[in-house]
Amino acid sequence: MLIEVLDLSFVYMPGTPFEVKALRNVNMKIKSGQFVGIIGQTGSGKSTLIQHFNGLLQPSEGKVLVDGKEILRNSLALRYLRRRIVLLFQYPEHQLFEETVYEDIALGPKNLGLSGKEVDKRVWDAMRMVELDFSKYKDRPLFDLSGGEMRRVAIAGVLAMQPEVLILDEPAAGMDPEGRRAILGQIRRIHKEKGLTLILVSHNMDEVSRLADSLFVMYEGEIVLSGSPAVIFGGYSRLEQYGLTLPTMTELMHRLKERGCSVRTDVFTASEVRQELLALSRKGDCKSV
Amino acid sequence: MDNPITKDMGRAILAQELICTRRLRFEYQRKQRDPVVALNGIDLTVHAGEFLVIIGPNGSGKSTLLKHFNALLVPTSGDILVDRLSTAEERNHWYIRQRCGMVFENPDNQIVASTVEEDVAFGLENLGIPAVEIRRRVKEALAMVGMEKFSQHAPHLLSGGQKQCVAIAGILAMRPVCLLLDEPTAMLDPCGKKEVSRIVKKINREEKITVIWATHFMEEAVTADRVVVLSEGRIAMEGSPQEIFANPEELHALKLEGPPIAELVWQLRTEGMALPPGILTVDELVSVLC
Repeated sequence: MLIEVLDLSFVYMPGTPFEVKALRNVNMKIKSGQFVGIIGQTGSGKSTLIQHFNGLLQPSEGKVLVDGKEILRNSLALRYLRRRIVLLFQYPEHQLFEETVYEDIALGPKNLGLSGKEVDKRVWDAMRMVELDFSKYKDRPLFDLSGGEMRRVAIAGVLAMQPEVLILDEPAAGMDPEGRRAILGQIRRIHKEKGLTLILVSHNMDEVSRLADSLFVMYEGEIVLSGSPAVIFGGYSRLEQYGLTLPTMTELMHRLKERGCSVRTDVFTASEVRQELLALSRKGDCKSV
Repeated sequence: MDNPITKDMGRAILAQELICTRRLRFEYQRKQRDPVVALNGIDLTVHAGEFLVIIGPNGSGKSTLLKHFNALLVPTSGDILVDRLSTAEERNHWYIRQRCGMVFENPDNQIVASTVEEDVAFGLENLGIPAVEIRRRVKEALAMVGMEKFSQHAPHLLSGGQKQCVAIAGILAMRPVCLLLDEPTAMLDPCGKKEVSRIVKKINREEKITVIWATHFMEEAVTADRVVVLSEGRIAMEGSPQEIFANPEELHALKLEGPPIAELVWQLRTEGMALPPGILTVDELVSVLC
């Protein structure tokens, strides 16, 4: 599924004293199967932008095309589109409302008019993707679950719709380190196994740099930088100006390079940095041997 | 600072016990079901002027413990003294809550007024303090968090980090001895996180206000005086950041991980690189390597 954004602008409360221009001339293209990260400081327009991808918001100017067709207000196609492009808001566990885990995940597929057997299959598969054991969890009441488990139920609920594009807004917010690691690992696997397009909005540079293959940086309603994580985090003086920081490992490498060590700066993971530093110490190119 | 008298006074303040818990146990009661034990025998002393960070996985009891420090919750059994007053006595609550103010995770849930100035004044107005004094204290509190210029702004148009600073100023205006922060940066962007950390550290250092900070971000624990690790309602580890983060394996067993740099240094050391222990930040590692 190809999403194209053309000269998109969006104004909140136009014609009132509270008018705010939230998006200005945004142009972007997201190809089928990509893992895209959208980063930017609070208020830069990330959430406004992603709500245009499935027609929750309509452009003030410009347009959004999905597979070449414009998303139009009130069209029948829009209803169909929202099954294929699914958006999960922040803290989605606040939006669970059924009594048991099974019922909540089954709600979407049931509304699609699928057979009981097919619904069963979809719930089972969705729970497998988020690592919730089917027989152990299916009849558990939702209010009995921990926050992290509820978050996974919410993600399973959208997976059961079998979308082609999944948009996640800060899926790991408020979780402990192990919970974050688990959720992000599951998201990576969902992307790989299902081959769906993933759009991730995140404030965590360490995580987004490791997951996404393409990044868009937003600042005051515009896309100011785009490219691979290596390209974006390579030019780091610009990033601070947009209210962002470097991934910790990349910052370390930049700082070492400034001090004259010959290290790569396009690395994001601890294992890559470890290799670089071990090589450096073998060459005797740093104080510590 | 070199004056021996002020130096000694600083030490005297540090030695004072501000909060003291003994075998503190707390159970959340549930209808027709067994209660959930959230805290199970906490023995902890917090010293005046200390910067204490509490870490622990979701559900380990961090927020529950913090809520005991200003009597939002009282123990099911065991004792807690805040500024030598027991929270078991309801008549102490009013005083304790003025001494220990709490800032929560979501800045949007804590803002009540339509300008920054009025929001910071809210608590003071409720205390019936004269208008002149309120104005003075609001100005002073906003200066402490670096938000003087925004006194006439509408709080809902500020960034997340600025909103948290306004919430902190609202507490500071009450002239507390202790600031309780429950994951204050969880919803902020990277710059907002840095800004709130910097401001709170400054307040701790310059105003000698005790800070108790609960977080999931280990980077925020590296400059603490002391770190307490909670697990299943008990204190699992306690020590300086260097002690706590020296061995990530112990943390991993508690479903936690150290700051990224501490984890990296530990791996490099196990692979034979001669790095000194206790490195927790990018700055520290850079100065050791180059």
